[in-house]
Amino acid sequence: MVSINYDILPDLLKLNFNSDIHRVIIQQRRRLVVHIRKEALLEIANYFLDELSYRFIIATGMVCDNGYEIVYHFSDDTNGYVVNLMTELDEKKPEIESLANLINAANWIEREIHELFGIKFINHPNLTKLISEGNWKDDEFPYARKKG
Amino acid sequence: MSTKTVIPIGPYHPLQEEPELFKLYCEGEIVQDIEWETGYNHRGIEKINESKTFDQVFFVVERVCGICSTSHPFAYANAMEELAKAEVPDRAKYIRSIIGELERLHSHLLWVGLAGHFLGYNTVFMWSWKYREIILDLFEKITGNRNNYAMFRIGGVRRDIPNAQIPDIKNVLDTLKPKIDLLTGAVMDDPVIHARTKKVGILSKEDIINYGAVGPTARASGIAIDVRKDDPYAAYPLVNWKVITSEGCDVFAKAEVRLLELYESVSIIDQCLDKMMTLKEGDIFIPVKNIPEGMSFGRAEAPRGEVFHFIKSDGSNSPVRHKIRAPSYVNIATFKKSCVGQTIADATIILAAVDPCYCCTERMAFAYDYFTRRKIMNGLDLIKISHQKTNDLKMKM
Amino acid sequence: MGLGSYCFKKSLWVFHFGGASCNNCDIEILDCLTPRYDVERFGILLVGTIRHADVLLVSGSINKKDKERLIELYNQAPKPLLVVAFGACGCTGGIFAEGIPFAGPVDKIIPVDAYIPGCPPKPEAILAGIVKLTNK
Repeated sequence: MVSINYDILPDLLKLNFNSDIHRVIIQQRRRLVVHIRKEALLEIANYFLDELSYRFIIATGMVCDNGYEIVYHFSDDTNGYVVNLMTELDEKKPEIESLANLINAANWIEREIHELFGIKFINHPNLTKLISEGNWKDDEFPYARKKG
Repeated sequence: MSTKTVIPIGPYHPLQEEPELFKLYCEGEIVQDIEWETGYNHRGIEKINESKTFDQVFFVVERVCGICSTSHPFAYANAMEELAKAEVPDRAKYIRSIIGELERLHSHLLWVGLAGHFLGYNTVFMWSWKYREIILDLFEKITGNRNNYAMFRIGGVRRDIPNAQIPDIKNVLDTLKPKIDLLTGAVMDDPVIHARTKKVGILSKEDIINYGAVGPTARASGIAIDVRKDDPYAAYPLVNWKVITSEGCDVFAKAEVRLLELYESVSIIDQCLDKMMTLKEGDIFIPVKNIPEGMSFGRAEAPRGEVFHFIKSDGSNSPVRHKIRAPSYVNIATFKKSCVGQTIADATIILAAVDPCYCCTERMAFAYDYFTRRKIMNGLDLIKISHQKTNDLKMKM
Repeated sequence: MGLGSYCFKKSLWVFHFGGASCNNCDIEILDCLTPRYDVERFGILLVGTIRHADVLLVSGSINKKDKERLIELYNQAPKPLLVVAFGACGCTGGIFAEGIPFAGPVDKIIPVDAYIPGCPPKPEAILAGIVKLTNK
């Protein structure tokens, strides 16, 4: 397993994924934010998980100006880097390919984001309720973008 | 005397009817499948934080979890100081690490007690919780409260530990060491505990990686991940200590890792206290006026594993988004792997081995018949079966 | 004082219901059973089912999912029953009262006889609360 040096990681990503990467920002020391095309999520996530042996930490759903953003957080435990893949989802059709088939660690959080925001994860093996049963109604999404 | 008069039962909410954490589908004695239902503990903390100022968030996140009460403010403070580009003074780093390690001590002792209870060793439960009181007294002396210490602020800590108090604290820690020896000996050398916990609840390296498990759960399967070493923060790079791992992969290995970590924690605290004696008192924070716009990612090593906080700020006084991920979120999912194929009697100890923090997740377990899907036993029954198995083993030995 | 109330006071059997909490309160309750505070010497026990309980100890803020369970438990409990709202969350909801799933503090759901405030209440406070309750 090779530990990739922080300085060359942005260039390496651009080399391998070119048009799928919108921009790479070095956020703080040992923290990187990579804005990617959402269609390229599986490929780029697989690159980090498989080739670079990163660990999936968690994903965060957020409301943003045009709709939603999902940030996927990965950790390289050999050097403490946290790489964060940012994807943007359209407000009218918020959906993205599920990571749960690639790594089991993504299973629950995708269910939770679905319940809170109403985002659909395509091909998720089991997109059923995790925390919402009894706490809010089926068609409610408490963290979703407010209309108007 | 009925068995009901012996001790409180089970994990933190022992007696709640049908909270349905885990449904263990069983064929005969063997668990075949597991389903999960939760939501009983959902408090909407991430949304609450969006209406609090950055300073107030410390008090909210402390109460995400009672036992990892310091780890959440720790990770949050790390995130905020990265964003504000603030370098915390050395004395504050030592104080933070001391509080963090004391918490690890009390959390692992709590775990030892509960694990002992599940196996039927109620004496271990009573003793380890009695020794835990020594640490809670120490907390009260240093911070004013047994739990929920409110020690952290952005840029440092809120209260100092006066140098005059340090020799007392070291004395208390010295009295604790022989007690830890006692507990470690009692657990690690007992043949019945070996029989109950070795080769039980095995999680291979591949399982750990697939589920993204962290903390002692991962370290017990030989994967040496520990945020304190991998992504160093506070005083951890300034003192000597080592990451404890085990190749056992089973429940015994998880117990071994936690017990040995107790010694490392005591050593870290000792070293921090020694170094603090050489530093000027009172230099415990740097003022931070503004939090700039941006994103930040902070983490800390809680007793259960990596705590991860993500903050998005827009330059105002409150976070726009605050994502909290506790270690139990990923650790509990491993139950699906570690429990299937095991007997019902082992179910409670396998679940306890992961040290689930129920406030980050949920409570008890129930057993269902695999074919009819009818409930056949509840959490109390599972614990009774576990005690029965221990008694049977004791008879045989 | 009748024989019933005399016996009632001598040995309280407690059923603990935990709502959505940080578990600190629950641990402090268990702490009461450990050797330092040893609440069992007063005859106080934690029991496994509400049907044997004299006291219903409710901790944690109650979210919508817990609310139904709490009402069900209260109805199943044999009367007379003393209800104790435990901790800041039990008394008023604490900091979680602003949360989306919050379903009202305990006294809006079932009648409460005693409040033990604190975050978490120290075991000494718990013992004092129980004593006050029995002297009511």
